[in-house]
Amino acid sequence: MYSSELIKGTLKTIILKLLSESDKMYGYEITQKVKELTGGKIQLTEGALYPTLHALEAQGILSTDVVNVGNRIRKYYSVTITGKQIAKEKVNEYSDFIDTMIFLLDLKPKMG
Amino acid sequence: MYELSKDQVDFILEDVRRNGIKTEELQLSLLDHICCVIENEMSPDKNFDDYYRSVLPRFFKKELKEIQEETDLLLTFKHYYAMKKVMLRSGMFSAITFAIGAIFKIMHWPGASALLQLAIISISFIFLPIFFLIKSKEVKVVQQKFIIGFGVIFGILFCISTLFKIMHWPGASFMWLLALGVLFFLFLPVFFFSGIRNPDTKMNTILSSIMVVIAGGLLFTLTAIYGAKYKEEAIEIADLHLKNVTIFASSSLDDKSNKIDSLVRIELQQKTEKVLNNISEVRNSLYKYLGEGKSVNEEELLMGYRNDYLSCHQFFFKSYTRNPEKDLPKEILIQLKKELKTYQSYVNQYFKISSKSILNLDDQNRTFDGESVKTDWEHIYFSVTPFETIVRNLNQLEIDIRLIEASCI
Repeated sequence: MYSSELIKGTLKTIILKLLSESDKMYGYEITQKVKELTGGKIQLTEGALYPTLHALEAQGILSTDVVNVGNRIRKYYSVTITGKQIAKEKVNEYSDFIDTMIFLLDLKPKMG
Repeated sequence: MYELSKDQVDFILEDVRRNGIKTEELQLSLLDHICCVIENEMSPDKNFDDYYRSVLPRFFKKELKEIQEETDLLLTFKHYYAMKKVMLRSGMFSAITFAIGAIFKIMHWPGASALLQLAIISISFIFLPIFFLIKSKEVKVVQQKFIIGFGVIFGILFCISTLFKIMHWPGASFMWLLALGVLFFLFLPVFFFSGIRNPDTKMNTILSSIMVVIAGGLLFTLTAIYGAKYKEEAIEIADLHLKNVTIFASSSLDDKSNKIDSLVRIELQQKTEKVLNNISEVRNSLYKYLGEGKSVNEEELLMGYRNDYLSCHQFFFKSYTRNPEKDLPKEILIQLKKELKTYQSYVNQYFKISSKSILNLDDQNRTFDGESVKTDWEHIYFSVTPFETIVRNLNQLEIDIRLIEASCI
């Protein structure tokens, strides 16, 4: 498990990347997917997930679909066209950031 | 997989609500999530209530309503970045437009007023309001919000009163006093008393308050008091002007006891009127030039152009080098001098009167940087001369002409 500070800055990027690769997902599904993909190393906290999802929806980056499941309502999130562009930018930015961090923290595998 | 009953779902929803989740959207999202957790992760042999209590803390650090607060914050700042961008761009735009407008104004190029208006409007109605919205959300204390609010109101009033002043619109002074009122009676007390209570900010608050009082006081002295003085002076000059005209109108040519022939008298009268008209024309076109095409009265011009020698110089001369040999007079001034000379030579010829003692158009010696320099009439009376002196000189010229006329009869 990584510290929540590390995850906080990347939450948006993770959500957008996951959603832009699938048709639609709901909140619990997103947390489970991340957990599964990272072998439990990254666990999104619900306290941060929902505020971010709602904000992204308000910004028009995500669109939602409401479905009745048993006795309750489930909200499916999917990425809008503008959202896809933003997801791409976010991922590129993050990859650039990682390269910089590797350089900054001198993590390059030593040659020879 | 555990199946939740309708009662259990209702119970969870109610519990979520009770714990401070206010918006329905968030309630339903959390409800589904909690239900999913229970359905997928709880083994059937466990007790629902116990398990629910153990699941809930996954959603928060201290209280569940943190999620609501975080969502509210993100939603209110939905347009935060867009607003910040608009604020910075409008600020930059205003600053650049203002600088260019000021240069245009000094150089008397066309479009100065439009640029200044645009700059002031974008500062007052775009930049400052957004600045208030963003900054007031960043601070938590109510007093701080008031300080920012009053500061912004002062800023807007200050900008608009400046706009009114440079456009010579009525109400500028009132708005300026209102701005100072906001500064001294609303902004300063809140700023001072809220800052002085905190030992960390005490020193800075006192210093800043002193600065604000000094700066505000200086601005007040510069504008309000001197403004009133200009006004008195302007009225005085205008009165004097009016008096001159009346005195000479009554004294001059209707006087039956004069010795000269009526035909000559009519000719003199016509020539005098022509010169006086020429002087009036110069005066009117100067006022029009300074008022940027609009007819502005002497009083208003005196408020705006007092001590302004550059604007008037640019009206009368082709360049501004302060060197009498290089700054050539414009056509309007050359024409005026020519008219005056023609009038003088006419008077000298027909009435055998040397009018030089009244109106001397010749070059004269003037001390300039300690040296005596021969200076022509145009430069003595119109070059690098403040507006109020130009007005006085034009008045004097009218009096001189009337005096010459009177001495002929």
